[in-house]
Amino acid sequence: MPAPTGMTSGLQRRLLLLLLVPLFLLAALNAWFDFRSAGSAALQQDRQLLSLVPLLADSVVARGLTEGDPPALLTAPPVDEFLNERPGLAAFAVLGLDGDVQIGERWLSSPLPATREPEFSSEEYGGVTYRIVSQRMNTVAGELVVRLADGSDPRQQWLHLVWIKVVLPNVVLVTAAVFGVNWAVRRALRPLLELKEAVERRSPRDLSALDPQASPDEVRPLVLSLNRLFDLVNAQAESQRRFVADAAHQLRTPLAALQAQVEAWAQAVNRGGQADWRDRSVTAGEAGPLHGAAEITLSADQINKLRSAARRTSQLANQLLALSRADARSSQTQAMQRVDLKQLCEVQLENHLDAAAGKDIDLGMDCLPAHVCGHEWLLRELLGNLVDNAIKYTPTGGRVTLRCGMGPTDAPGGTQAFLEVEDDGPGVPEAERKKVLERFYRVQGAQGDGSGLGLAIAEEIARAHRGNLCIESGAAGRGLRVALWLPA
Amino acid sequence: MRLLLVEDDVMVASGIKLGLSDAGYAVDWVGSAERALEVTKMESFDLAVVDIGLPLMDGLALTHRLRKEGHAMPVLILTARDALHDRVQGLDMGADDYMVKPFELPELLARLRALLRRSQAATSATLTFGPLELDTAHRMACIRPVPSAAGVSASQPAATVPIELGPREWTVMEYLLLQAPKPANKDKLLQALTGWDKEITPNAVEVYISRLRGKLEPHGIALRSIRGFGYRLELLAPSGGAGLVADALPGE
Repeated sequence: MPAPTGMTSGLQRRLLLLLLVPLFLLAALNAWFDFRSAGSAALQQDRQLLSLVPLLADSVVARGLTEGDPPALLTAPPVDEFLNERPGLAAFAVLGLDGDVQIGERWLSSPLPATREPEFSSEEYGGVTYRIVSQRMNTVAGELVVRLADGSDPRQQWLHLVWIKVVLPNVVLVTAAVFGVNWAVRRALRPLLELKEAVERRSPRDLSALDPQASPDEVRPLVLSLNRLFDLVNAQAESQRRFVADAAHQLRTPLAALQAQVEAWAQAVNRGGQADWRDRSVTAGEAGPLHGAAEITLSADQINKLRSAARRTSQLANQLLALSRADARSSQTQAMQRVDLKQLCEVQLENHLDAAAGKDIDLGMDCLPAHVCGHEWLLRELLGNLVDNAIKYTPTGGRVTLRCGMGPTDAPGGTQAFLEVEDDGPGVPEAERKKVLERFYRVQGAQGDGSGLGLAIAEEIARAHRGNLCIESGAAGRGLRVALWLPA
Repeated sequence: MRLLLVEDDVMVASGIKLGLSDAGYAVDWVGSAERALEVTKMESFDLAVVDIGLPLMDGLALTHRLRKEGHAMPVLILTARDALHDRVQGLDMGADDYMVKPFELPELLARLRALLRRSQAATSATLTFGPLELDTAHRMACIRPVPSAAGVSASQPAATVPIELGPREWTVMEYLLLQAPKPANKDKLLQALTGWDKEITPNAVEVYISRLRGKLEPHGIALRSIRGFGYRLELLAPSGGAGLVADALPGE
């Protein structure tokens, strides 16, 4: 479902962005402060070195015995301490102004300071980066250059540790935060998602109110607004449904009158022939309200056409009424009762025997005992419509079979009842099977004078029973089989 | 046959009256339940067709009153309502059958015939179907040709042809005739026969049916098999073709 996720993912993304961007900035700031503190540590080291330089100069206590001998050195205790604290990582040198090392490490012989100011430099030796301070100093042995090197550079050490001490905790923190925030946001948005799903799951016909208690306070006004909208749409649909039902119902009274008249004429002409009929038409004129009206003569053919039009109109009114009554909401108001499907089939078989005999159709049944909980008159209407359709569309000499019984469901162990009508007529092409359920849809080029409502009614009635209407080819791929599966 | 039609809609009433008269019934039409009660006090009818939606007293109340006053004639209710509730209530009130308006005339006629046959069977010992007549008191069956326009010419005397039936054939015949023009359920037919034989098989029923066919078909009566259900008595067209005669004339 790509579309609906967009609704909340927008909100989710914004929340995540708003929470995580400041978090990243904080982490970066934290790293920067850590770097800063490392810089101040370096400054402290420089100060310490600087403070030790005069002490080292003072450690030169005497000239060398002869020219060329190194001067005598007695290291001052702070210098000693400094060297001992950093075994292998600290060094000193006393150089002559010519640049050779008179005392101390020989590798500290690099360029001499030009001025008398202390000079700092960094030099790598033996894999260790040393912070070196050099200064020309006047000592008892004359002007010399003293040099102190500290390999325990905190900045260097810190740079080695920076990944572990600064970046890693921050990364871990940020990662944890991403997951945490993501989880929290999802959790916080869950009621919203649930609401979305609840709205999404319902069928277009289900307009019952949503439970406002299931939603968080912030969303409740939205839910209430939705419910108000549902109510409005419901009321409108209901009034429309009632209008159709009332209209169809009201239509039936004048239709009954029309049909009663036309049926009587048709019977008369079909039985007695036209000559006979003229005599009778006088009687009809006297008995009916057409008193004194000019007489006209209709042929048998015209009267039969009139009758079939009247019958179709009556059937349409009946079907419209059934359709509006089958509407899920209106059928909910009546209690379901136990319906014997086999008996239903027997009654419909009996009702349609004459129609079938008229087309020389072999109408039969193959029924096993089956009972469902349902609305009897709706199921009767459904089956009647299916049998009607089957007889209408099956050519002369065809075969129509009513079936009912129990069958297995998709779920293991479960059983469902079915009600089925199969014919060996032209059938419905696979591509049109969905469309035949639409109201007033008729298969292209189909014979017969159906209204295109029969299957729409069947579908509606199936829905009212939480059943399933299956349309498929009949046995051997011929004809049509319409089955209603109902929860037993 | 004399029928009472209680219907307030003039158009519907005149149509029904025309159709029923044409089918050979004598029809008395009244427009209200009150009139109907008056008329039934003076005359007797074989059947009443009552619209449910009458002014003042409605059709159900009328049926109830008729039954209370001791009228046993079958009552067929006409209703524009089709809720199950009304149908059940109608039958509880003493109506024998109902039809939803608008209806097709052949169906109304078929139901009237079935109702008349049932009430006849209850009051007299003779069952008829077309030319077939079954005298249940004397256990005699015969074919009595019906004088009709297309059928027997005046020169031929309408001779009554007796039909010989064995005891089990008689049971089957009687059951079929009681059901006609509805189809008879094969299972129920079997039950009706078990009085004769404890171990009767569906095949045995087939045998009796085919024997009956042999005896009835020459007289224009067919016994159609309804697949998965049972059998139905039908009238063949007098010309001997395959066409079905939709309406059997009621006996007058």
